[in-house]
Amino acid sequence: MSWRDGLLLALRSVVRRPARTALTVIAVALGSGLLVALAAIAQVADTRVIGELGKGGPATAIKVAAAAPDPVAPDSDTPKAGPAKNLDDAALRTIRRAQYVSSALPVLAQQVIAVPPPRGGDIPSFAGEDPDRGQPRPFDAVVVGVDLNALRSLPVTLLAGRVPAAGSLTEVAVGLDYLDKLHLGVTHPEVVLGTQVELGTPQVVSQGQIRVRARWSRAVITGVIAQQVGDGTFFGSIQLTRAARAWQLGGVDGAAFGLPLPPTEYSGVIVVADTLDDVHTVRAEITTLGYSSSAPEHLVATVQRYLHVVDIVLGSIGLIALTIAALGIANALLAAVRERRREIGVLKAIGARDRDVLRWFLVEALFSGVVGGALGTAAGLGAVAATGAVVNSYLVDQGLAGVDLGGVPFVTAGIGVVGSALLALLAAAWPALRAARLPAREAVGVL
Amino acid sequence: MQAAPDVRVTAGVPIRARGLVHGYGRGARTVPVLRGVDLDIAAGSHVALQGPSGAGKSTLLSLLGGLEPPRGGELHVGDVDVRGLRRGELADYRRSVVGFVFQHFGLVEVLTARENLMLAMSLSGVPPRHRRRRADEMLAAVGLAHRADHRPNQLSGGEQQRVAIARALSNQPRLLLADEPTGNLDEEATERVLELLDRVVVERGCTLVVVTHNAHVARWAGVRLHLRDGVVEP
Repeated sequence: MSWRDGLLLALRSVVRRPARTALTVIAVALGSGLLVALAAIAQVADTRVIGELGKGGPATAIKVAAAAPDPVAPDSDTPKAGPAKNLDDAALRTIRRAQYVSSALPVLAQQVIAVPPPRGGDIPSFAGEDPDRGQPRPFDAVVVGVDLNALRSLPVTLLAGRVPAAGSLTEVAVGLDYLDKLHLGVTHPEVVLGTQVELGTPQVVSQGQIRVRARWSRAVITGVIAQQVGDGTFFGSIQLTRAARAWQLGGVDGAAFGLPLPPTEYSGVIVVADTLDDVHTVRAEITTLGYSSSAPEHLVATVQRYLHVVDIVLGSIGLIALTIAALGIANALLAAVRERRREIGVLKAIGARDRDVLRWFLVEALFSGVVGGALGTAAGLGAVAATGAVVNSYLVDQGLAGVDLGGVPFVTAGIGVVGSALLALLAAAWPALRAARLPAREAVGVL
Repeated sequence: MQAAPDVRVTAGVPIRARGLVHGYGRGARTVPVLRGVDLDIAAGSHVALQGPSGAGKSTLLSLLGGLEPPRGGELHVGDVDVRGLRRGELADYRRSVVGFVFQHFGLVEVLTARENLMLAMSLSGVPPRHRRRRADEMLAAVGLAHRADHRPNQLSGGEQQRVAIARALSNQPRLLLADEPTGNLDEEATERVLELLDRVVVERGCTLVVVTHNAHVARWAGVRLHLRDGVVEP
């Protein structure tokens, strides 16, 4: 029997039992669709997310402190900082020149006095007011200033609103501790958006008879964030903290009563390594340069291990689905063999060889595998596209770079269709062999 | 297999059996069916095989047609020793020597009349470019040219059997075996089928063995053999 005849016979046979064929194809489609979707999602999780992060994202951000390295355990994720050490533009340039460094962004933290807005108005209630005077109670705080144009390289997560405009002197974002200070719940951070906070930068005028004055400015709270750039309640542009630092430097040192002059040009640097794998090397270089650094490299490694576990789980689910699909194909073909015993016998009686019958059933299974695989792969990729859109939307809302799914993963799609076809052939092997080995006497039905 | 017969030669083959034994099952559970059949059938003769149910008619037919090898005795069809054929050689033998007609017609339901014939030709190794023309010629020969594109379920019983005969003859067999070919047909259809068998078998000169319970069909055949309890009655 030629392949053409085998194909004709198989195709006519599959349309003879449309319901059975449809159910078999659906079983294959479900299995392959699930596997393709899981494989694509796992691929995105592994190679895209970690990969994107690894290509200079926040996961590769190394916090460099204006301090000497911890002499005991400089490699730990969060080492204790040693003695203070000047961190200026010259040091910044040296760090930027180091191998595997993608970028180095200076951080300038500035101490301020913060005065929240009074009760009423946009904020429904807070307990920060002075009970004696009915006015808001000021509190000491720190503003962390960075180059907001490079936000995507920084470990910052937007929880509500937006980040301040780059270079703005009148906008800040706040951390969740601001909500705590105002005795507001963290579940609705949006209540502080658009409110104003007064920030006063202290300046010690004289040391003999202590005289301190402050430069006051108002800033609109544009967003609520979680950030690991520096310890501070407020987060704004580096221009804002530079202006505050310049004002403080206009006075004298008040270290004796807790208002020392800023000891160093920058309070820290966020260094982004070329790849995730380079983080450790870059940290070693920074240690060699004499600065303390911290990075969640062990945490990322742990995340990668968990992602691998997720891969295994997803793969197992997909394999179970495929096994069920394979059993569906085998069952359908076994039923077909039972049904066609006499037909098989007749074919043999008129000269069909075992391999002709084998070919008939394998082609029939191949049809289910290819059609089911194609439908399932299309559905799986559709599910991946939908998932990708949701993930992208979430990441963009967080102010982070979206995850590029890279269009249709043709390799995965190809594996989906070809894999389903191979699975169908594998599942059909036993029923087809059974059919091929049926004796020709089935044609006359003797015993 | 011994020297393969030339399929273009349509002369009938002689059949010779000696002590032919066959049964089903294994060991102590073997059910004997043929208990030593001796027969000689001349080339080109028409033989009716009769006997009560369970006498072994269909089993003998399946051995003659190479559907399975006999378990004992000798069976020679032309110059082929059927008992000595292996599985693949039996398929070659069926394809090149034998044509089958079944009581249940045995047409592939999902194929049209023409496609049924073309499939048989494909199995026989007829070149693709000749299959359609030859199938149409065969259908015309059995008076069904106008039904070539119909599937079996669109044909009457008599028409299906004529298609089956056309298919059986499509590989130009030297031995035509028919198992109750008129068993499912009415009187008129039976007459047409017998007339057709008479014409095409005589035209082609092949040996014909018909299993039948029908006395009319048995009379129609030139030679009648009675099988009882697995042996041919004298």
